Amino acid sequence: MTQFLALMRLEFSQWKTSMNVSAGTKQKKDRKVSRALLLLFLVGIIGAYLIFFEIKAMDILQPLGNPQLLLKFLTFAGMLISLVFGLFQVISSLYFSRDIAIIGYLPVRDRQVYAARLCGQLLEEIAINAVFILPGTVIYMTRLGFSAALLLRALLITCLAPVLPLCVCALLAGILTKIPGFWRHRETITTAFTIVVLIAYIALCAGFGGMTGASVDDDGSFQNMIMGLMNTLDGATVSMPPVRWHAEGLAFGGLNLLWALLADGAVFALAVLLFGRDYIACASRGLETAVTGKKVDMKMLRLRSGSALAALTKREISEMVRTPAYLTNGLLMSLIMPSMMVGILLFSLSRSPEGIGGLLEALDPTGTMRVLIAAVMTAMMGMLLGMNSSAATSVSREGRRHPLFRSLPVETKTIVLSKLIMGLILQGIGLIPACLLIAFGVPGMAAYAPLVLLWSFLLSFIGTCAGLAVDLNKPKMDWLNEVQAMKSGFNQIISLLIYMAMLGILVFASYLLIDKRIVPVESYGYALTGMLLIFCVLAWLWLNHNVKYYERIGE
Amino acid sequence: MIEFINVSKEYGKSGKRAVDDISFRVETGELFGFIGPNGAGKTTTIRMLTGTLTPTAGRVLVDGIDVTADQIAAKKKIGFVPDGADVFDRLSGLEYLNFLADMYGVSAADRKARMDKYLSLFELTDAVGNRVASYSKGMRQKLATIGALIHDPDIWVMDEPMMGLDPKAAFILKEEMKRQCDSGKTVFFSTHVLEVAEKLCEKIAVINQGKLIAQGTLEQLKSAEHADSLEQIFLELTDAESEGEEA
Ligand SMILES: Nc1ncnc2c1ncn2[C@@H]1O[C@H](COP(=O)(O)OP(=O)(O)O)[C@@H](O)[C@H]1O
Ligand SMILES: [Mg+2]
Repeated sequence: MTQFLALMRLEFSQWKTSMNVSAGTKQKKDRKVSRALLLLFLVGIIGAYLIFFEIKAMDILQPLGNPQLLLKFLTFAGMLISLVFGLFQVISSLYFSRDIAIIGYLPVRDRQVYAARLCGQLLEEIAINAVFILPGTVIYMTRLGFSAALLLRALLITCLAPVLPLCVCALLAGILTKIPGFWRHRETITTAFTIVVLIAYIALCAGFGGMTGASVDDDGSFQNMIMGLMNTLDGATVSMPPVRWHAEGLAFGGLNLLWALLADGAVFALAVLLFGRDYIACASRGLETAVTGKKVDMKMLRLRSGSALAALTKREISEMVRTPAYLTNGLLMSLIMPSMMVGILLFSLSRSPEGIGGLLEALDPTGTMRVLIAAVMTAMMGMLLGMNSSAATSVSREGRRHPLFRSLPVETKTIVLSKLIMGLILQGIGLIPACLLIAFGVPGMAAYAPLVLLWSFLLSFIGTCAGLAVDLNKPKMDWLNEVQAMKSGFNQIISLLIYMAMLGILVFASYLLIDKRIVPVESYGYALTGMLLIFCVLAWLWLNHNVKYYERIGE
Repeated sequence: MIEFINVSKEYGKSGKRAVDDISFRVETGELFGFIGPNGAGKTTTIRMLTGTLTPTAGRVLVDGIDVTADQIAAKKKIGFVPDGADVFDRLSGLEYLNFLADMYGVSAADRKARMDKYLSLFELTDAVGNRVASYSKGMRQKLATIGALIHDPDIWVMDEPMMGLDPKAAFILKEEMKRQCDSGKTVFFSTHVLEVAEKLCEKIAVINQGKLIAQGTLEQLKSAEHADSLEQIFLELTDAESEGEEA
């Protein structure tokens, strides 16, 4: 047990150092204060969004006589997020983390190390769930009266909700590593696995989206949309008992809680039993690099010379694709996220009585408002794009190789440009399947899919410039482990904050433009494009301003 | 030619100078050894020379070019083997060398000829198709060395180049250093292995606690300190320095 606790402390201290930007002795205190303030500001902004949503949801649900649905919804959403975000995080932190080299030789049991790793991951997810579930519970209680029991249940479910999804991810990851030849071809196999998941997922969503329902009522389309969401939710929770136990455990308590606890314990034990047994030996194989054995014949070798920018960009891409921890947390995550978002949206809407096509017809019979729907879809995709801010680690990822970079006879701008291109590829790659999903999955939206693509791309340009600018300012170069490098904590949080604030401004401005009829709906598309271009210019200027910080790294 | 003029470096605002007002000159065609104990400031000095750190005060000139003022031109003249040979380990050896050749604008024919020559010299041809992550420490050091020579630099700068090399590879490296000097190139390297400096270098500078405490040919140092070996000189100089500090 002491060993296990020591391992947990290690997990925790790694997480803590990833949040601290290395700083000189003198300024350390000031920086801590300013960072704490920024963090507070961030939590404030995101919290405000969430609380706003939760209050609105209560306004709708309470008259329908089903306020508990909010609690169920939050539990469900938390579990879903843990499942989606957890998959790649669990794979990379369990199996692609190089610090197994410095833990592997210690006299501890494989299962202890495995369980500690899993718990470390769990802590991160619990923190995210707390942001969801706890404010919702408080809002619920302000409407329906304080209940200590409910508060306790909320705390318990916050801790329990991520266990099941993360352990499912751990089981999947474990199975993946047992595929013959996995370690030799880990990048290829993980990528193939992601693409299979993506295709299956898109097929599922497109299938649902394509179904058009029965006749459309003239009235209450919005109500129908909410009903659609509720149907989806109830359908999903009822068909998956463990999810229902958590959701109803929070809403009603009782035996549900016991079942939830038992299910979580069981699946955790299963993961530890199955894949903890030979964990160190298994994960240590991630330290091995396959030797091709192919001899290079210098006589036959054809070499070509290329530009510095091309060579730098090629290096960025090779490193991204060949470092499993970067691949899973960067490229594959970006690939899958936007489609997930669009898919979840389509899936919930398709459960409404008239289906998506009908819903669109009812909401927008003349077709003039399609451009607004396209904007909403862009905003949702943009939100997820912002979550995966690999750009905010792209300078940090240089790590100890920074002196080598700096000794190269190229302009700093060229180096930064290669990172920008890499960032844009990372973000752009997921937009294409998502826009295809819109084009072919949503009846009547096909013509707007290219517009969504353009807008999302502009958003990702802004996000990438901002992330890069933040990382240029205070990169964290002293990592030993690539998993740590990919989550250089604080910079990602700051760039997320900036990005979300920008999205908030855009949403608010759009609301004003349309609500106050400053711009007719037909011209809204131009207005949005214009606003996005302005932000692009601002982000570009900011990035250019920060390029000079690159030369101060390590000073 | 390398010239340091009253160069100092203070990291952050620590108040402590990692390098304190050093001045010295390395003439073209010289083989120059830079020695000092751990933490003396060797890496810091070399990073200022290669343009990867900006001096807090003073100027560093490479063939008359100010490294801070005209970074790109100065960097083009230098071939650099970084401390610990931290190279891009997800690339194959071949990709790494090609990457560097692209950076320095080496033509396809030249890069092929040089790769051919140095890969067989350092016996790395068999491994060059594999990713650097699969290399041993010594192999990485060799690769970094070849990478530094890929553009046939006028000035070859190495930070602890013997680290991790086996005796044979160390011998080959020393021979290559001499050959480069004979063909008119300047070689500047840091080490804490005195024996290497003693056997190889025409001139030596000793740094301790950021200060340059001696420089000159080995003969000059010996007669100045009344000592027989570099080891004796080194111990006397560095001890005297720390006693002075305490006093
Ligand atoms: N990035 C850095 N930040 C702060 N201090 C540093 C940094 N790098 C080196 N130092 C300090 O500068 C001094 C000289 O270090 P270094 O040049 O690496 O020595 P050497 O290479 O001779 O062993 C040491 O006291 C070291 O602690
Ligand atoms: Mg050093």
